[in-house]
Amino acid sequence: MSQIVTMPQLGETVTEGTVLRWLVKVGDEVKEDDPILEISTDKVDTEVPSPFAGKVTNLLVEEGETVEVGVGLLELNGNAEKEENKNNEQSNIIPEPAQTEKVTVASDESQKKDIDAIKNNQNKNLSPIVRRLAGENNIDLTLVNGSGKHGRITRKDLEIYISQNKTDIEKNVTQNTNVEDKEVLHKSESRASKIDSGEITRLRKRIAQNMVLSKQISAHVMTSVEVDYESLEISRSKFKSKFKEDNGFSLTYLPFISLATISALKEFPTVNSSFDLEAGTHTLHKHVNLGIAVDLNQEGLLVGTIKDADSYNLKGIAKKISETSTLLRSGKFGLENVSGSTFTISNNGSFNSFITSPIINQPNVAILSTESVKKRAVVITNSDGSDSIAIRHTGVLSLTWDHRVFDGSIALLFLNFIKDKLEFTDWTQELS
Amino acid sequence: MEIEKITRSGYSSNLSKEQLWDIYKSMKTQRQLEERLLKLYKGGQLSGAVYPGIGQEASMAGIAAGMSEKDIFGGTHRDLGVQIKKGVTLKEIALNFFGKHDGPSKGRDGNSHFGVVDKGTLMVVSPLPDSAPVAVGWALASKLDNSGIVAVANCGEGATATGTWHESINMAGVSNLPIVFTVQNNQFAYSSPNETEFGTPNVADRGLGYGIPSKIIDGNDIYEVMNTIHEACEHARNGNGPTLVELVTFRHYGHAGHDPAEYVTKEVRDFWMKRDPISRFEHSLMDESLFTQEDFTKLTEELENEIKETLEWAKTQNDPKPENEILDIFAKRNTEVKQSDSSETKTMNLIEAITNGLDELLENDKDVFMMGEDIGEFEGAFKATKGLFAKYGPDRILDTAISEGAFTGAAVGAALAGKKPIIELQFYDFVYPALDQITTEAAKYYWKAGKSVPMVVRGPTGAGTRSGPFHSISPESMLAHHPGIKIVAPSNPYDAKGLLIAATYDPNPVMYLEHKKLYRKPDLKMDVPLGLYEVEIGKGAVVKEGTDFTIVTWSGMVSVAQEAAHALEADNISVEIIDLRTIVPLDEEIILKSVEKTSNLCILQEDVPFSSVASEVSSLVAEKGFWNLDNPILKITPPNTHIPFAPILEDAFIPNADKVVSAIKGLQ
Repeated sequence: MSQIVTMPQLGETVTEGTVLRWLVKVGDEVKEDDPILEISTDKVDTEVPSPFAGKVTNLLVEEGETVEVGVGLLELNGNAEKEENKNNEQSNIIPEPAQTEKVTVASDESQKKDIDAIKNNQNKNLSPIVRRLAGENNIDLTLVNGSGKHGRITRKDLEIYISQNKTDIEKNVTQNTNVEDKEVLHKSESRASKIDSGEITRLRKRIAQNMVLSKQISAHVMTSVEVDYESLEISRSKFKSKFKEDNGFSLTYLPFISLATISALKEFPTVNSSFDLEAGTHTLHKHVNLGIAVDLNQEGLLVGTIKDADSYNLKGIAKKISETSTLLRSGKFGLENVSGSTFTISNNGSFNSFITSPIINQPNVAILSTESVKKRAVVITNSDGSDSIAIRHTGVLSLTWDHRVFDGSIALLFLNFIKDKLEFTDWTQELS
Repeated sequence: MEIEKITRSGYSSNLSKEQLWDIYKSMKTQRQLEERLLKLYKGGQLSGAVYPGIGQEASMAGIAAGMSEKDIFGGTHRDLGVQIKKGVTLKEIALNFFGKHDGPSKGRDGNSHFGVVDKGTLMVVSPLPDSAPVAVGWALASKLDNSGIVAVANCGEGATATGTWHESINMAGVSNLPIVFTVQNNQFAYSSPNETEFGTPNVADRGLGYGIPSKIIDGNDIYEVMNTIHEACEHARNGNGPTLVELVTFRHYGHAGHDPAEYVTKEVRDFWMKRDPISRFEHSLMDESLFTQEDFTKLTEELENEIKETLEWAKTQNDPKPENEILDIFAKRNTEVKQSDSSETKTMNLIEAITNGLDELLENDKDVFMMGEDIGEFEGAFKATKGLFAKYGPDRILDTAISEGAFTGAAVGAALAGKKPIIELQFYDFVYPALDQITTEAAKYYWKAGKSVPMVVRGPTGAGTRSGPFHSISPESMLAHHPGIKIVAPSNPYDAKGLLIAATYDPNPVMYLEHKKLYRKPDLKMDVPLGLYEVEIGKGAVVKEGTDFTIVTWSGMVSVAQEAAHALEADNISVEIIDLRTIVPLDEEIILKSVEKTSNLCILQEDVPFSSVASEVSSLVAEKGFWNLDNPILKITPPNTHIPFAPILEDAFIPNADKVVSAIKGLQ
């Protein structure tokens, strides 16, 4: 009996995905969890593991094609001939099984591809010729500017794009014909190095779209508090050498802040929520899936997700944060590593920030920015009530929050809860 | 039962024993064949229908016996007796009844709906009496060529109530044509008796109204029938014009196999059974001691066997092959395409190019002649035949009465007889009365009877001259819906002359549409070659090249498209214009090729939109050019309404360049 692998739901706000590259071809035997293709979505470029074992009998989607979540991508253990007949009935066009090694795309294939594209709501205003040319030239239409009515991409737009990007398109076709596995992010990197040529990488484009989208959706307000890290720093200094020895990575401020934030989120569930004004729903999340923004060596930004972060202690969370950033930077992560966050922390302090106003990671309702911790002169009140100037480790915590969802009082109660946690927790006990 | 006697006299007195036996045998063959067919039909062995003419054998055999061998007969489904006597074989009839490949209509029409033109019987069609104008046309050709052939246009009394019959007999009377109109009055039009069919006491009374002699005869007396028909044929052959003969007779069975004819009373039936034509003929032959009862009985037995065997044989013959036969619509041209051998040209407007083309056709081919209203001395309502009557006279440039049905059908008959008729419709709006002849006869002749019909139906089309709803139509879409006719619509003088010549030499009926607004449009004037040349039918032309948008158009709208293309240049939109020139057969390739280049299609037509050429072109591109399209297909047409008179309304009705420009820009 045939089994169909479908386009996975790659995050809550994602409705579609693009097939970047097939890693299998018709006739291949695959085991469960074998990577079968690379896909790209608004959230992530990732490999899709096979949910079934069996023989590949049909590739239903072409490389470069964008399809809705749930659309069939690959058929296992099917009767290829039967499937062809079925398609034939639908479209009167006999699709050839797609091949990974194909430079020129036969018109039949592109037509079949176009028929699938018709199912795609996002592409409903693409004309037949645009679909065909895009298919033949393996073009990601999200990169093409539309000059037609309502921003529609016309044949002319596409032809201009093709002539301007001739080299890259040829290269793209070549890349897709390369049998050797390549990491998706490497592709992004190699593209990023060509930014002066005017091309925007897929990742950059995705970040750009997400940022603008978030700004359009949420009513961003930034609020900050100053935190005295002195007590924390004393504990950290005491344990950091041993910690590195035991765990192989440094003990930074981030795990402390994360742990304090998780506590605050449990205390203020409104901040750990999702808010859908259109649908009229406000979802308070039971658990904290903590998003950690990971910089990809200045080539982009991804948010890694630590599922059920509220189940970890300090060491646990430190380990998860370290693992996540390593994983994301390696590019070898799965969907589960980058989706489903309920709150996000952006660790700008590591780049020596003073104060930051980050953009909310949708569909979160707030994002915390950790700023640099430095020794500063502060006025402290002594136990006898007198004031004196002291040198203390301090830093700012900034929270950008969605004023649609809650108001300033919650934001500040939330921030001060974190501040108090960081300042008054006995961290030595946590670390020993 | 006592049989009323008949005796030989006149022409029939001179017939030999063998000739009489031959006539008798054909009557018996008809009767026994039809009885057998009726049995097969009632027994579920035969598809379609059977229309027995039993009881009318003397009329049928007598008509055929009174004609010469080369004379032509146009009749109905109830004329198998005539066909048999004219030489159509039992095998041919049987094959046609079973819809076989080798039958006269190749299975395209059934039972008695066929003719064998080479044996002198015209194609039989169901609308009656549609072969009458065709017979008139054959008679006309005979007169023009002085070939001595007489046509007989036969029908039942029921069909004489139609305009077709009256137009035909009027045209024959006016033109003094060698034709005989026979009417077998078998008492019933299907079920309707004479009293409900005509107000005159007799059908023949009507002949007087057309200035032709008329006779009423006993249609069941073989001698009287052949005498009368022979006399009428010779009268016609000698240049004395038509005769109308009413043959009073009776059909023993109902209209068709399914009809028990309960509307016939016992008294009427008894009266007619005493006058059964075969019994009367047998008695007469016995009275003359020419043949005996044994001879008759023996023949009956022989025929019984022959008919049974032939019908059984026909059943086993090849059926037509759908893949070979179903699209066999146009006769293929086997004459050379004319190329001008003259380097001389003359500046002409469109109507001058048409007149010049007509003139050269008439001059170069004696078979070319024209028919139409006021085209002779008056030189046509639009003066398209200017100078032609003076040059070629009334035998080549024939003025007709107002009877589009008759002269269009006559063109079919003349074409079958070897002529190349060009008929003028004064306005193409008047194609409606001609449409029955165009679609029933002209369009189907090659398909059903294997005979090509080279004829041209030309006339002015189109709106914009403040001529109102009945002088302004663009008929191409309506015509194009009928298989078997070609349609051309030139937009400039060069194409006009070239297409006219190509249409005249095409072996098929060609509708030649002249947009009257273009006739004298000054900016269309161009140098047109003198001498015969052709623009190939079925080929469009790229009249302007472009890269962004294809406009497919023809006839009067080509100049509108050019105006729009010019305006769109300001917006940097480069338009390619395809002038179809021919509507049927459509040049699909030129359309698809252009859309492949531009990815955008606009069809501009003056005809109303629903079920139109624009719909067809749109459908073609949606089907075969879909993957080249970059925008929805635009159809720029008038609204789906009648053509109004008031200038403000007519101007709003006809598509103009502004509408084209705004529609195309609306997509950008």
